[in-house]
Amino acid sequence: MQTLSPPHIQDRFDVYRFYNGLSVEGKEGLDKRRTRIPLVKSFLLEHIDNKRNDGRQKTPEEIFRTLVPEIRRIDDTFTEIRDDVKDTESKTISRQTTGFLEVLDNRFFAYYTCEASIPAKRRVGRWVQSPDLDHTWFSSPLLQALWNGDVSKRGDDRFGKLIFSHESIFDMPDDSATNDSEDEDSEETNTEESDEENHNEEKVEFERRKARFEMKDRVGKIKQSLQTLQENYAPLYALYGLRLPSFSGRGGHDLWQNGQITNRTDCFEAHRNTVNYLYKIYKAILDNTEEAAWPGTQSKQAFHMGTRGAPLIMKFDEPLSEAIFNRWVQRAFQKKNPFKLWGVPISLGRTKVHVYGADRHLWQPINLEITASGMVAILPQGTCGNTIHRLVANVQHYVSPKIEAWVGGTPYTEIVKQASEVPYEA
Amino acid sequence: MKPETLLKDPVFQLNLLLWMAMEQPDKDYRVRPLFYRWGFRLMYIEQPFSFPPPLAAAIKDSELKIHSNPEPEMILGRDKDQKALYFEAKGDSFSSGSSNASQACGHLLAVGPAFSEVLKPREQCLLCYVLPAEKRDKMAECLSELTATLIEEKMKPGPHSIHGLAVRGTDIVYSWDQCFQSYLDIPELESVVLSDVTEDTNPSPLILVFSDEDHHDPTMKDYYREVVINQIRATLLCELKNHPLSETYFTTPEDILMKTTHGRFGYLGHKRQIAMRRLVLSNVFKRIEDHWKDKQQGISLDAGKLYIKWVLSGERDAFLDWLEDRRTKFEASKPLAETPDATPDMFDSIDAQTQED
Repeated sequence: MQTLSPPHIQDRFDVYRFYNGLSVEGKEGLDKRRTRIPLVKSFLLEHIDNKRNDGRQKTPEEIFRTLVPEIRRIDDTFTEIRDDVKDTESKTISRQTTGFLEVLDNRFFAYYTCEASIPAKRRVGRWVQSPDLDHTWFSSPLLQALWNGDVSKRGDDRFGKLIFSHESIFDMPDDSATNDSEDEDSEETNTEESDEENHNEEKVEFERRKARFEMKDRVGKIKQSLQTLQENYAPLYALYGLRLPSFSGRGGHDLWQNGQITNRTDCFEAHRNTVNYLYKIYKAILDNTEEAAWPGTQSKQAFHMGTRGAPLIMKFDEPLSEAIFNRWVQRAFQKKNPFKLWGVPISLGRTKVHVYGADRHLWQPINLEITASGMVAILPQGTCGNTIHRLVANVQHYVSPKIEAWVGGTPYTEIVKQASEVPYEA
Repeated sequence: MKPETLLKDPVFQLNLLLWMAMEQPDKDYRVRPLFYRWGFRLMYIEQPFSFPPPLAAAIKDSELKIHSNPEPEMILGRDKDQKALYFEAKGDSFSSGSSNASQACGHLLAVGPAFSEVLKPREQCLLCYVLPAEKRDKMAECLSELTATLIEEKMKPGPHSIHGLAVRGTDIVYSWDQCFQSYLDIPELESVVLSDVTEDTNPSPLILVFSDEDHHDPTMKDYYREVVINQIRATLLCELKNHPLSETYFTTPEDILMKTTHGRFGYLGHKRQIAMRRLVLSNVFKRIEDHWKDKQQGISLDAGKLYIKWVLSGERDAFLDWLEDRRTKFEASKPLAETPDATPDMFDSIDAQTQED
């Protein structure tokens, strides 16, 4: 069984040194085109402000005590997470340190781990079932803004990587409109830690739109061709992963839509800097989103007694067929669905419904108008801007790869453009 | 359903006006945000206007029938010149001799000098009557007559304008008169506010108004109540999902309506409040009690309060699964005026003091 933490941890720097050793070993493996050990990876998590019964926000300790059997504070903002781990060979379960939680601020945490990708993602996936936690959602426009404003300027000779993924899960027979969760789990593993192909010729394949591309080339080459490719094939707007080349040497940090960041450099400190950089970007973007959706509500609350919340408006590049629309509406509000919405759709026409429901993940109200050509969402004041980014990310991933979106009067692309405006503190 | 019939629906009218005041993109908006673009922001929805005491006394003493607490659909305000717009929506025009005239007189006086006194720092206000476009002329005639009558009575009514809604091709067009044009100093006299209107699809944007009224289209009679019930159900789910075992959750129709409407319920007229409370009590709380009274001891309805207490996690799961299940139906028809559990202190005391237009 792989050791996931250093022995006798005195302070957080023991952990940094341990991850540094793994990073060097992992990078050597990558250079030889084969990883011998799983890479160090981080998950950027959002702490939802679900007040306790006494009106106080839960502390990270309170949240994680309900999620894992043991936690141990190493310093004020760094906590060891101990959980049950299944050995893949012996199939035995033992309790061990799986990773470390850093509290970046009241709202954002980073979970660092060197566990293999699939169990790590499953573990974090289980945690974010809790209404207190959510992934951070690096939607396609946000990843595109990071590419335009930052990565594409890091040097034309650096190697960059972009992953595009669109899967029209509602474009298929009625009895099979679920996403391929196992595919999802293995997706990043395939591209992240192994170059082995994972074809299964026996697998039933439905006729539906499913596009997954990886573009790995020099940044200059990608820059030259990306826009033309996107204009000719809409799924190339559904950016799902992006490599941020390292400033200090070869390799980089792979950022995925669900806030996972994989270290492909030989330096953990550089990785942590990148996590910090992405956290600041995401935080600024959430602030922008919430200001656009609920502008100036604090100062004018006493006088303006009206409706709060500017709408999120999404327009699809191509209208959905009636069959896809119906399948989406039928499935989007079921329990096991990536949209994580609850509601009872009210039909207002062949391809129009209103849903006065709730965000099933955060259990906060949300009102939706869904048509074949777009979606309008109204979130009440005080709800979380993360829902907006999750909706945009999932619509592009599963429904329409090319969309235009606005929060109130502000284009969504303007909100995420902030991504290129946060200085990198290497 | 013909879209023209929807233009007479007061909830649709108010909802459309609210969307026109909501920030949206210049292009690809849901409803053209005309008022927002002109710099107007929402001040009040269905908030009764309180006259200053001297005017309130004069209204009381007047021989004219004047509503002493007029309730506009909404009021918008603009910071740059402290101008305001005061909206009243109607399905049809009326004459100066009709029962609606007293309400119109109240509105005309509200937008006079009283307005800036009550809603400082707003300095000017224009009354905007919104109705189907073909009724505009008759409405203008009526308001001019009422204005003249009030002036004869030595009262000070404010200015008014008449706005129309019409379906033209696949568009809904909003039009206004020269008074409004010069008040806002704008060149145009109309604008398309909603596009792609077809007969087989209800063009309504998401409902921002909370109403227990019947929808104008008989085939969608229960629609507005269904919207309220679904929102109440969503609020209950959101609250109960985080509710711990062994602690009692209780709520009243008023509490849950206040939470669902983010406080707007408190500003509705009394009659509307009573009807909405009744809807929640009869169609939601009573339905919950009827289903669970023999299954879980911790769920009860007593004196209009819904109590929920779970001891076992299985009880909680069973209840939440039921509430979450889309197959669980909540009746959306209009409840009868009296329900078995409506206790006197819930509604009747309010009924007694109700004054409503």
